[in-house]
Amino acid sequence: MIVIVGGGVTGLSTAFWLARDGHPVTVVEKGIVGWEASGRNGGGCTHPYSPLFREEQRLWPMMDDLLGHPTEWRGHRLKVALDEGQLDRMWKSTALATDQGFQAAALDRAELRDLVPWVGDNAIGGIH
Amino acid sequence: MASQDPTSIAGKAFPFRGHVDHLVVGAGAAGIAAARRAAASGAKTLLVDEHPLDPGLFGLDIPYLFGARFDAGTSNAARMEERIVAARPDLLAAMEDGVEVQLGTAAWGGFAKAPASRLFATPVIGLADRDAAWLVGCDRVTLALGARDVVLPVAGWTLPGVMGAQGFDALLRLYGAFSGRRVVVLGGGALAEGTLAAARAAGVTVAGHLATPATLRIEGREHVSGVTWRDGATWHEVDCDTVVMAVDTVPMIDLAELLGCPIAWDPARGGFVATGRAPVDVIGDAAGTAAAARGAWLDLATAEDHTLVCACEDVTAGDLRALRPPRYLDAAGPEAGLAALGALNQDQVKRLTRAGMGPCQGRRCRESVHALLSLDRPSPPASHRAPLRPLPLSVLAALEEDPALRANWTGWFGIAAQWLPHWEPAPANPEFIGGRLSGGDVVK
Repeated sequence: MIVIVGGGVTGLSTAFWLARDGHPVTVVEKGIVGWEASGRNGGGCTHPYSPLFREEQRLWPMMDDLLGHPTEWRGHRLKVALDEGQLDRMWKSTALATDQGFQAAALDRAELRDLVPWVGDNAIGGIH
Repeated sequence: MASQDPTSIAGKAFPFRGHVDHLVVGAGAAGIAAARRAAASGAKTLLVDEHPLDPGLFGLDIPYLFGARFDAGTSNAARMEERIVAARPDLLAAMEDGVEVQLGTAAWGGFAKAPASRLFATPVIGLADRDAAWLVGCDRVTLALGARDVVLPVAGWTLPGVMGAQGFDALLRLYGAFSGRRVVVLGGGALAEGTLAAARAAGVTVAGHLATPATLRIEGREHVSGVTWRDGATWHEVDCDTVVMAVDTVPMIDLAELLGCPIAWDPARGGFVATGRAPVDVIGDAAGTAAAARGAWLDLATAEDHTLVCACEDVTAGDLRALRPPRYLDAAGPEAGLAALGALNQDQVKRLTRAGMGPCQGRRCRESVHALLSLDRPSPPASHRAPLRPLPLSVLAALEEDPALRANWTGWFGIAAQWLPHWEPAPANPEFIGGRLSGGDVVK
């Protein structure tokens, strides 16, 4: 028997994959599952600088089928910049993903408005 | 600006406006009496009460179910403050005793020493009026939070004109701003009797009174126009513009929970009740109301699957029984329905169905959802989190922002090496700015 202490996203995910491989697993949780840091905003899960990024990008699209429950995952991300300096920094951080083979496109002011008509007048462009 | 919690990584800090010996939250009879006792013993005492409410809160049914039956007078804060002082003459006596009284001031947060927040030697309470939000420290805090309305999710309950006994009482006797004319009262206990007496004393016509649980429907297209109910094989109908749900109230436990007070299920005292734990006292209705009388009413109201329980997020009794994901996802729930969860918890059910996740923050559906989850045994209480009252964006915008956040949100949390990709070697210097961002890009 494998005992996993903690029923947050890390403990549950570990238990899930072990159980799928046929191991007997018990998760021990002091409160309720997925509740504390795993149930709050502020816990990011898609960091392109992380060694897990590529695997995470592979797994997310399958999660609804794997879990049998909709997770509301969306595959696209939009970054909106209010000045050139912001846009420059966004490209630098986005490059952490594009360097690994992921796609990102630059949006000028008009293209951004085409995609998001309600974006503020102060948005100069973005990354999709 | 002194920070109360130097380990906080929040981008904005609420200003700290000093320390009192004794803070009393809630200026009803119990709160006023407690504040006067504290002041008489020589303690520097502050008494706060959220009434008169910001006019916007009436429409949001916070903290009571006002059912859109408030008149335009509620938008005049100064006049409402006069009426509140007139309705509670002991407030003046408290001021004469040396109690500092702040009306129109809501307590939206409470921070006390706990395993995850050891820095607070004494409690810190978050307060706000319509212009600002701030923190006050105190050696002792007395919570006289009062009670909340209980909504029966009967057909038509979301129509303007449906209100709770607390909302009705506040508009009638505290604000003098009730705009209805003909009311039907639901409920059979002392709460309903008090509601009826208050209505008659104010010259409001009582068009009907349902004292025992019945299958009923609130009629109306845009507003309440009447109530129909079944008595055996016969349907009765009565015209009215207001329905007052006076079946039950529940103790207000939100701030007590944030301050770490134990919460226990005690139907003899109205439901979930908080017990004071030094330096926090819980008194008045917050420490227990009348015995819970809502069970049979809620069972009848939620018997049919199409009953709308959570109006903010459009969740029905059937959605909850089936643990169905939110409607817009168009997905089935687990075949076993509620039973699939094992021990049932309202917080988990909220994440699965969205029930209680909307703008009213479960104020209207808590009791219904709890009843649906408690068929075998009482489900644990749904948790509360700060801010307990909506804070206007203008209040938050006025606060000083961390310079790092303002200049560049990628400097979030001040983690210098945040953008260092894993394939680059770890820096020997922990202050190293990682990745392709320069020191100038990340403002620490």
